[in-house]
Amino acid sequence: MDIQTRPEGRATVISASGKIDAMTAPSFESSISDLIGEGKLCLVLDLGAVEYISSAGLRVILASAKSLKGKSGKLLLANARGSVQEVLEISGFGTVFSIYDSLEAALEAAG
Amino acid sequence: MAKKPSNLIYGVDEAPCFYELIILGLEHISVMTLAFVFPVVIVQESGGNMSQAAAMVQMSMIAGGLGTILQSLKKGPIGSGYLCPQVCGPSFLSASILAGKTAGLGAVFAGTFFGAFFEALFSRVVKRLRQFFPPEVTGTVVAMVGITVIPFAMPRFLGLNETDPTIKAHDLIVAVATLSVICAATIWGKKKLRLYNIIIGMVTGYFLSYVLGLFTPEQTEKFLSAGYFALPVPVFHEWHINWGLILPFVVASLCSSLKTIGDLVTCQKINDADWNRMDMDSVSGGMLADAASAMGSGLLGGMGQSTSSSNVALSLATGATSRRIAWSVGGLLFVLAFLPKFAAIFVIMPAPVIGATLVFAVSFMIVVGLQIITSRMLDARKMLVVGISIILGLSVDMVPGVYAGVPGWIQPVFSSSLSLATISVVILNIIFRIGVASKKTLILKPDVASGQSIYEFMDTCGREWGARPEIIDRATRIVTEFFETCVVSRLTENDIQMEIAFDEFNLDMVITYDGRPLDFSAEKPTAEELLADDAAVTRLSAEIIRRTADCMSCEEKAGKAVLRFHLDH
Repeated sequence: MDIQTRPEGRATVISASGKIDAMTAPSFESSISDLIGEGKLCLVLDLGAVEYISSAGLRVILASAKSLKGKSGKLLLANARGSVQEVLEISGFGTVFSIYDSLEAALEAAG
Repeated sequence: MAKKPSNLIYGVDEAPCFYELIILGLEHISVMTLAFVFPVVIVQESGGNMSQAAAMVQMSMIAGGLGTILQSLKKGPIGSGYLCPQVCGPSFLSASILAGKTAGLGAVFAGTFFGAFFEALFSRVVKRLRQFFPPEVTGTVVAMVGITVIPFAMPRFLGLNETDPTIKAHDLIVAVATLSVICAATIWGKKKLRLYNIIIGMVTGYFLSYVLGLFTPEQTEKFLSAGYFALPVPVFHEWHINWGLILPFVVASLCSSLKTIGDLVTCQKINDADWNRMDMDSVSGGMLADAASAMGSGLLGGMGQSTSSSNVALSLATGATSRRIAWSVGGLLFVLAFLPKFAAIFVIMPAPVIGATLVFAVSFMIVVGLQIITSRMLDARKMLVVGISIILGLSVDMVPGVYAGVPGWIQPVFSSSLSLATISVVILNIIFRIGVASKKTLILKPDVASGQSIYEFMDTCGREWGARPEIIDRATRIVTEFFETCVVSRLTENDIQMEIAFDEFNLDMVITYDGRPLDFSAEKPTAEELLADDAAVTRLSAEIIRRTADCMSCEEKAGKAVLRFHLDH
């Protein structure tokens, strides 16, 4: 798994690629925690290049969202495709998160 | 029921109105006219005269019309249920010329009948041979069907001929204008314009050909001298049955059968947005219709019939695949056999107009073939099956005369790029299957790091078996979710064995280990539960597995947990 971050207006885009599973979830979690620690409270997670996400990866997303909420921040999900989109639907993340079809739409919503 | 793709205006079960049926039928016939050159060539090579050639063309039209209607039948043992017109099959050309030169037209008709009889028999057993026609085989045939037409299309497009191999400016102008109009109508045209794209392009091409003087005096004379009505009279020849000459027809029929499979697979794919595998009942019925058409042609004194790839491509290009168009095409072919003047309009079609139409239709055909090939995961052996076959096929046209020394009886195989590629892809697929196990086992240590081997293992299995990538993705998700949960929840401290088995319809996995099974009865956790309780992640895993598998079971026997998962393929 590889993670790239970049500022886009008020938001910070986190572009993950590869697989987010039990093996890679810890480094995924620490990358997001570092951003929150730096005061980046509006995060957009671009899932376009993520091939697979397991329940371990889903838990990291939930924990990050909870942490941001406590600091009046927000986490938006964008660009989920194929298997990743299916897992998000199965797990019911659609009711908990704002999931956007494209990165542009997510950035617009982020303000 | 098949899901109609959004790019179709009239799907297979829909009904265009009467005048649309007539125009669409004429569009198909205009594409079919090229194939009527073949009987003329056979008669000429056999030393026959013009009236024999005309009769053979007329009988081929009647047989083709009958075959096109039979092909569209949905119920009963005959017919595929699709619009898949029948034309004089190029696969039969070299066998027919060989028989005609050696023993006259009687041998051609006898050979055509018995060759087609072989296809009829083949159609009855093809369902049991499905494993020999996976998507990479049928996709290669479909792509090659398109590629085979290129040597016919490009010389006409550029105005080349055997005596003068230089590009003619006027021909090129007509071809480019015709193709441009067809493409513009297809890409930017609204429904009606797109439906008649070929006809609009052809009218443009005819007009420009007239203005630029491309009609030869012979073509003008042929059109003017053609009668308005004439009864088609079969010229019966005494059958000459020579088994040595019939064998090439059997080989030609085999090629024709495989091409028919490719055409019918294309029909299935373009009519079903959710298509994922061949419907063998439809293929079997379609092959029988193909055989009946060719047998009828042999009896009447026509040329061997085969499904027309160009017409299948045309139906995709126009977005009209209604089976009622097949009735229109069949009926119009019958009528045209009685109306020489009307038929002459198509017979004198300028070469660049034919070339432009073929380039347009064939481009769709080749891409559909490639889509079928890549609809499954490919490993090295499958890539070689496809790659070597395409190279062999292309060698026929790219290296002319390279197979000149091949014995006459097997010459039909090497006579066209399609035949050679088809035979090659079938044989290589059978040979390269040696050593591919239908069942595989993976042993996993119960630690997070060893979970990485799951991805590689599943990918290798998927490629070797040529499975659909989305099914392998789901199977990988089930195993990974289970494995992670197993490790986190410490369900076992010993090795975990996973066995996976595949056939074209099923993917089954059995996971066995010493320990307690995963609890699949718990409810899906809420977001709050997931954050508050680590055990809730296990429940989420169970939910993901439950929802991903099509069928599953879980049991515990003497301290051993056995989990079974099934996915439809």
